[in-house]
Amino acid sequence: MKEIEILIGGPQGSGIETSMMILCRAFAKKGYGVIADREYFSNITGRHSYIHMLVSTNRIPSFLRYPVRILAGADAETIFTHFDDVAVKGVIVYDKKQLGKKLDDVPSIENATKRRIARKLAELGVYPDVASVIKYLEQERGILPLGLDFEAVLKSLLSTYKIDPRQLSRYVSGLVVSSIAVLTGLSEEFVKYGFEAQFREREYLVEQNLMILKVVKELMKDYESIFRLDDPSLNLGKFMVVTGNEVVAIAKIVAGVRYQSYYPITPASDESFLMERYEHVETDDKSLGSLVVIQTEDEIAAVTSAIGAALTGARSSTSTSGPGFDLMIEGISWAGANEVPIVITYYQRGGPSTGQPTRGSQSDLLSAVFAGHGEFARVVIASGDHEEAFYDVVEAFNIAERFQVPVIHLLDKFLANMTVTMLVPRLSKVLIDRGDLSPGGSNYKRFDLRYLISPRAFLGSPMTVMWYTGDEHDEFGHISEDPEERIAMYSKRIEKLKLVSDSIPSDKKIVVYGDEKPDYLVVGWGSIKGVALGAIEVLRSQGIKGAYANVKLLWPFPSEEFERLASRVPAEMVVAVEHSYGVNIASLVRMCTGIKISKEVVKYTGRPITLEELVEGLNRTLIKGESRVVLSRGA
Amino acid sequence: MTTYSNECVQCTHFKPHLHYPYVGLCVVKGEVREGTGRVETCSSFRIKTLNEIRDSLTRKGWVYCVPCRRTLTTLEELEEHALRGHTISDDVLIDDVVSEEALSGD
Repeated sequence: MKEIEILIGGPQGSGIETSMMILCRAFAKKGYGVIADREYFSNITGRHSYIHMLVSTNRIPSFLRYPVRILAGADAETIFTHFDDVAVKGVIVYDKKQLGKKLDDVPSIENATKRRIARKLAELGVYPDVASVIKYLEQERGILPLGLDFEAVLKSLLSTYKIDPRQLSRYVSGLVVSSIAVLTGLSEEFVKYGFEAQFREREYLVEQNLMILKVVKELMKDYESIFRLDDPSLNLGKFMVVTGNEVVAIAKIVAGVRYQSYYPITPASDESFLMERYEHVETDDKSLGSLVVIQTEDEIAAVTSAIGAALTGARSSTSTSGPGFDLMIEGISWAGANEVPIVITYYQRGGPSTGQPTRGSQSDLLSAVFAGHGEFARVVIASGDHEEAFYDVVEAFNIAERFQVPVIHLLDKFLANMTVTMLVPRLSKVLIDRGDLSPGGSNYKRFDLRYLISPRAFLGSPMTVMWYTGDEHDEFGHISEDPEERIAMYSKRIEKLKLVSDSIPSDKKIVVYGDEKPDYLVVGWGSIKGVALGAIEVLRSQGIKGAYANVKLLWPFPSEEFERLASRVPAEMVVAVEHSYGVNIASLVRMCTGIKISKEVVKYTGRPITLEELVEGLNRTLIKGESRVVLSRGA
Repeated sequence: MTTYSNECVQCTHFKPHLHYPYVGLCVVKGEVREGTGRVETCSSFRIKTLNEIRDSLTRKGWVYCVPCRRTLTTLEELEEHALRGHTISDDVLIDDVVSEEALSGD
């Protein structure tokens, strides 16, 4: 077997996420490529969470797909919620004690979800209890049900070890991990590695979970390796198993960030938490310096303190999501007015308002591009995957400092929370460009009108005085309301956008994948990239050649490059794909180029677009001629 | 009205695990116990009454419904869940893993 799809479900905080990390590391250590998405409710514990994974022997997967071959559930809710996601002849691993549970006995399922499940079961003629669902799947879809007595396995641990019940979830995760390892033929060596990496310096947990592995192996011995994965052919070399948050944090440290501010917000906070662990940066026993990470009292303080740090010459950033960005807007306007190089890392989540805090979206593009009163230069970039995100972080700071503009780096919850195997970035590709710096000195003009890019000296430079104000200002920074000075200063700030656009190379604006002479063009940005590349590959196997335009520079919008690209295919064969209702990228394209993209495939449930549904969406728009397809797969 | 049988999870001294109530902590013995399965002899066993749980709710402001995996904060909610026969505890064992598994933010 070359690839396998797995879904693990259970109450949030019960060991599901731990299972994911152990499995990702174990599979990656063996040499497989892995991608895993974590879906969870916005309350901290208790509600349903699930991990959707794809493991591959011959590539680093960039998308997820349904149906799944293995469904492993720690509770009845997982069975009811995901029974329809299991492939024909797949496997369900479940807790035997859940068999008698009725749908109505699971109060943690939301009423609307419960009604939908009940309707589906009624249509299928299945009684709404776990036993009936499993029997239906076994008889009608050839699914193999593997019931384990979770309680008995865990109680057997009690009799052998004196376990702390406050760590019970670690053993449930061991049970889930073990069952999947047995089914896929993953040997103990790699599972042990996964346990050791997860439970570092807690050998007792490793030992106890290895005991669970032995018990589960014995219980499942008749089904060992029924989904054995082929040996890996990836030859990865040095690789990482990381989330998007982690990659961005690492990249910021590499980029030389010395000040990061944040106010906690899902799904951004984990980035800052990782940076906090490296507040003292050293290598080879040599101290490079410190990284200041501050949790501020709110997002206004986060952005304004980042601005202050940038004025002193530190590479500075802040990290947030939609509601937080909204609070930062005045600060960003100030940064634009004062030509301050800061980076705002913006992880989009479901809006509006508090919205869906733990779900993803791409609905904030226009907010990122246009938010902020007055007109000023800003740059907005987006990353298509984890590897891009690493290099884009460095590029964001280079752009910010070279052109002295706020840069908004757009990501999303999908990328933030997905764990992937990723090659270790090549540091030889990383170049730090701080732009032209000025020593300052007497009569220093911070906003010298002789130059489109102002000479930038740092606050505190010797013998240098400079002024910063929120008001319109003269070349020194003093408040000025003179109309001619206003024209000169206002124009200078905005006209440097043309310089930005001319200076950024084309391959950092739009990157095109696929056929050189495509029959159709898919337009997207951000985390659409992975699933779009998968979809055009599937359609190629059906004889339809396509290309994917990954728009990386969203502002200033690369109009010329886009027009050239769009001219390669007939207008009706261009389709925009986005995690939103309104397809913001199409609006931006229309505004900047006049080109109307009339076909769209959208999803705004907060769950990521999966491969099979995008393929269907593209078929319906490109072949069958529908103008709009709304996707909705995934619980 | 909730009916109780002679299991640790029915005892007033038992703190069930947040997600897996068949395991928990006996605060009297200070040890891990299985929550389900009859306890034949335990001198400390004392059945948890609904009145005691009501008192806890009034005093602490919350109690925990084990099957629903959520806190109850009003007497009306408590009565509603008790009527359904749900196991309700005046305290619960929070798993250490929660801090590692649950992403923070708002």
